[in-house]
Amino acid sequence: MPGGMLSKMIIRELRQNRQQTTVLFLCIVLSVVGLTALGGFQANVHQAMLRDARELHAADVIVRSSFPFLPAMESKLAGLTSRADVAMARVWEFYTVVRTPDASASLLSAVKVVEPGYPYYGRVVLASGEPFHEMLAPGDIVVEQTLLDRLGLAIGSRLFLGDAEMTIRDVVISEPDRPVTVFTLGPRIFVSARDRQRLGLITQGSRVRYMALLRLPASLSPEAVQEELWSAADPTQERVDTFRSADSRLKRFFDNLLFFLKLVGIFTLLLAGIGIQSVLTALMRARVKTMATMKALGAPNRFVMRLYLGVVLLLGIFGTACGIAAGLGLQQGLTFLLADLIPADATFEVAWGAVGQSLVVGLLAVVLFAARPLLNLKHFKPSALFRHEKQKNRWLPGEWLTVLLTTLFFVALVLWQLEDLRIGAYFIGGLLVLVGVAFLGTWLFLKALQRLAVRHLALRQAIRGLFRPRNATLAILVTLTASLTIIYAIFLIEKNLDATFVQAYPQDAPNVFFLDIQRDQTDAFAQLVDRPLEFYPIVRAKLMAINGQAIDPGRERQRKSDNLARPFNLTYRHHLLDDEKFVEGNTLFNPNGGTFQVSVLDRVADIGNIRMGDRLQFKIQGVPLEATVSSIRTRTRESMQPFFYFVFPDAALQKAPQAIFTALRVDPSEMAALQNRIVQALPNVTVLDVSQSIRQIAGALDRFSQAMRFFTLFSMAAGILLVVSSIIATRAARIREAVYYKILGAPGRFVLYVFSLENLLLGGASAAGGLLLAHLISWVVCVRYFDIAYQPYPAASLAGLMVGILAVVLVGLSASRSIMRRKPIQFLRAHAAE
Amino acid sequence: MIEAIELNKTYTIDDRRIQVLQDVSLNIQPGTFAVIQGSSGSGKSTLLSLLSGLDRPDSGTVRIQDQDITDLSEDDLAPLRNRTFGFVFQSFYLVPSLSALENVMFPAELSRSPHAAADAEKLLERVGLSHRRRNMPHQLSGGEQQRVAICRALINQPAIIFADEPTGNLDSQSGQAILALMLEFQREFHTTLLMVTHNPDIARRADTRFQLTDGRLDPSRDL
Repeated sequence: MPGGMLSKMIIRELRQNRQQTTVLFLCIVLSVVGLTALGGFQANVHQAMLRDARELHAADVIVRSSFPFLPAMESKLAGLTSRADVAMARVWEFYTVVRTPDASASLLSAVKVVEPGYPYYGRVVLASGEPFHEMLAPGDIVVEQTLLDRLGLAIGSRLFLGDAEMTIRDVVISEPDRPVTVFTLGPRIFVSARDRQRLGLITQGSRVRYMALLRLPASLSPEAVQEELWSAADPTQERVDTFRSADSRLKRFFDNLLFFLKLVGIFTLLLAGIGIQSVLTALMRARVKTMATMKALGAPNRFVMRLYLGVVLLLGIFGTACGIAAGLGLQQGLTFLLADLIPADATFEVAWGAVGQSLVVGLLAVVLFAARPLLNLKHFKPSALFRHEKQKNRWLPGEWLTVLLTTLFFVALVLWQLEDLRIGAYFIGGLLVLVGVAFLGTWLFLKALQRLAVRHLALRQAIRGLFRPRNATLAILVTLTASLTIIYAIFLIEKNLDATFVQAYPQDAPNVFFLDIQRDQTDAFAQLVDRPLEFYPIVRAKLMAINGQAIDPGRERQRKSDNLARPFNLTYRHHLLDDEKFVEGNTLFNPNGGTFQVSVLDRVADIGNIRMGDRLQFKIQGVPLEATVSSIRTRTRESMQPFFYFVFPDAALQKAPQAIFTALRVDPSEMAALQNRIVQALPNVTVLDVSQSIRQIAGALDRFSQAMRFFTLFSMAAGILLVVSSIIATRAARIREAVYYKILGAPGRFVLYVFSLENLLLGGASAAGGLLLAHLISWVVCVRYFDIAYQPYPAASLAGLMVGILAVVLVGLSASRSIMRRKPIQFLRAHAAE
Repeated sequence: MIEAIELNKTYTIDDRRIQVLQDVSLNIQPGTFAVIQGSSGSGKSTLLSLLSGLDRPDSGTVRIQDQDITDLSEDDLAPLRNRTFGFVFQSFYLVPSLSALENVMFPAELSRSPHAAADAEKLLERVGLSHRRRNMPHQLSGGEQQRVAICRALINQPAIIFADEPTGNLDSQSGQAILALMLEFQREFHTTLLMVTHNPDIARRADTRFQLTDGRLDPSRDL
């Protein structure tokens, strides 16, 4: 057969089956759009971060600690800086409340005390355009515009930081190692290191981030210096990074966001793939007579195969290209949605690597998901011209191979995209469980429906319609249920988080925390506040090992939830808090157990699989401490009250370096006055207005879930395409039904009623099943993962259910519109023509 | 009474107009067995579709029991199709998702008859298919499917049955049996039976015959 004829036939096949090819095309577009957008967005953000990695960290090598550096590290740093070509600048970061000299206003601010030399790379841009260190003379500070606005100050105004009164000299526009401002609790203040002592704010137990920034000569490799410093570091509290290895908080935030979005992207790809397979199967079946005619005229199998392979490839290439174009548009949308979270120079750019990857993934998905229907072409025989033979469901070896390759492709894609074997396995497992449960539930539902004796005529017809041949009801219900489950679950989890932490902020819950109270300041503090208080001593420590088994920081940091490698705040007391109860043990400590016992909160016990009697090894500023687990506590309600993972007897920690904090419920109208009073008398005390922070977190959470919801809509779109493809696949049968009803005297509204009921059954079953599963998943996530009480939100659930049902019914009906409009005579004439 | 006055019908296929019926007028008396004869492409099935309201003429009028149905909408025709008309087609057109019994019951259920099931059972028994009532259409032979279709056409005791080559897809023995059955019912229920056929043996048994040639009624061949 000449190639010209084949290409002509390919074009005609595309034209004559416009509906099927449109849905097929949309499935292909959907399969790549999400991954293209996410891949491009991730590449843009990472590229921006890597491009100026030195500037992002302002140094070649960075040493960090939550405590003053230990002597071993100090001596190593001294050794290094003795070289003339190595420069070092120390930086101290902490939060403190600053106040105006007349004590009329105060504000929590993020202070950065810097030595000359900072930043070694990049530039602190000031509003005046003057060099940074020229403006940062002793006694002067440089602040963010927000601080001026909120305190009603101007350049030249005076401001109290701790004990020191400083002059505002300039406004900072940007700093290289702080690209994101949305999560900070207060505006930035730069202070010269020469004023450090005057502030009186960096004392024992204060929450200060100590950093040493090193600039190296070209002859010295940052990695070599890093290794040298690591050899002297106490890994429990000191961390050494090069500008290349440093993992910024920003990168972690985006990695987390993109991780969840990629889960949804992969899920969409899977659904779209099923859509491709389903539409293509429908297309092949609709063309059975054409294929039979071609074969009867002597066309070999490979000709028919090439014809439809051509159709698939043409649509695949065009669809993938359009999907990539749409993905790039979406990438721009994502850049816009998260504009104030991403680095300023991470603007929209076409990431050709990501585009190439999407092209390969898209085409591979098309070929793999289309392979089975194409291989199935062998089953079509010329005899189909003469009799309606029921298609035998005999699988060829090639079909089994296709299924195997598709599974491998999917698994590889998951592992590649999620970059983590364990989480990838969890995702695949979770997806299999979700699809498995949805499948089982749907199967049982359909079986029950089939046996149901329904008297109502239209409902009975609608139920029968679900079982018409090629209806793919089971596949539609399973995919719709699974995608609706994810959409509803995101909605419910977000609502619960919002309710627990934002909306339902309890009336009696503390809304302000006072941190870094020194032990000798508790009486003065109590007098200033003049109300009953509970002081919580905190000792910063790291958990080193459980029963001698060392904590693996690398593995711990991969946890998406809390991890055991971070520094913990230990406390000591001998009583349970009001919102605590025992899960194991009857007292916090065993009276005969000695000094070194620890009561553990169930949340951390679950993370570390900690049990009664286990031995926990801590390090408090280099000093080891081992304690035996004497009880396990849980919290009876989720609230903003302070809680502690690890509680020790007084004797164990009383002498350790510590800070004290307390929490209060303060009327918002009194907040400013109290804050000013405290800051004036006890300048080292940090006042943290929690309700304001919560609003900021809620804003970020909202953006996060907006992005999630947006991407989940693609999954829903893939599910909806499946409904459309099923309607197209059964178009002939549906037309026949509609015509028969009309010939037998049923009015048009009866046909509409039957089709509506059929779609209602589809939508109702999938939405109800999805909602049920979503409640189960959300309950597990809220109670087990976030440890918050779960509310089912019946009214919102019902609304979600209605929206889900309505979407399916409307899509189903609009896809069936032309079928319902068909007049009996058109069908009879066409049938007579056959 | 079925009355057609000056019916004309043309179809347009790819800009080509084909006149299928030209000035066709006829009268069929109630309770009679009438046949429309003609060769393939003569327009007999088109005429049946116009008389039964399945299609509309370009011009002319169709009256059924003195009611002009020419311009009735699909929804206005629905009660007529359900209670006044019964249809039997060459290709049976049973609803594939319904059992034999459910197919027969269907028009009665649409008209909310409380005896739909009982009436359907009786009819199926009459045609010897009571043991097949739970079978789906694809489990029945052609003859059996047509018998179910006849029962379905009769369940609401319509005044008129339109039959389009009802024996065309059957072997001669089954065809004979179907014809006998239809005539038996026609006499019993005093139904008007209008059948399209090209079989002269069937046509000979009709009370009235209409011969269609190239879309025109041949007056010389009317009885």
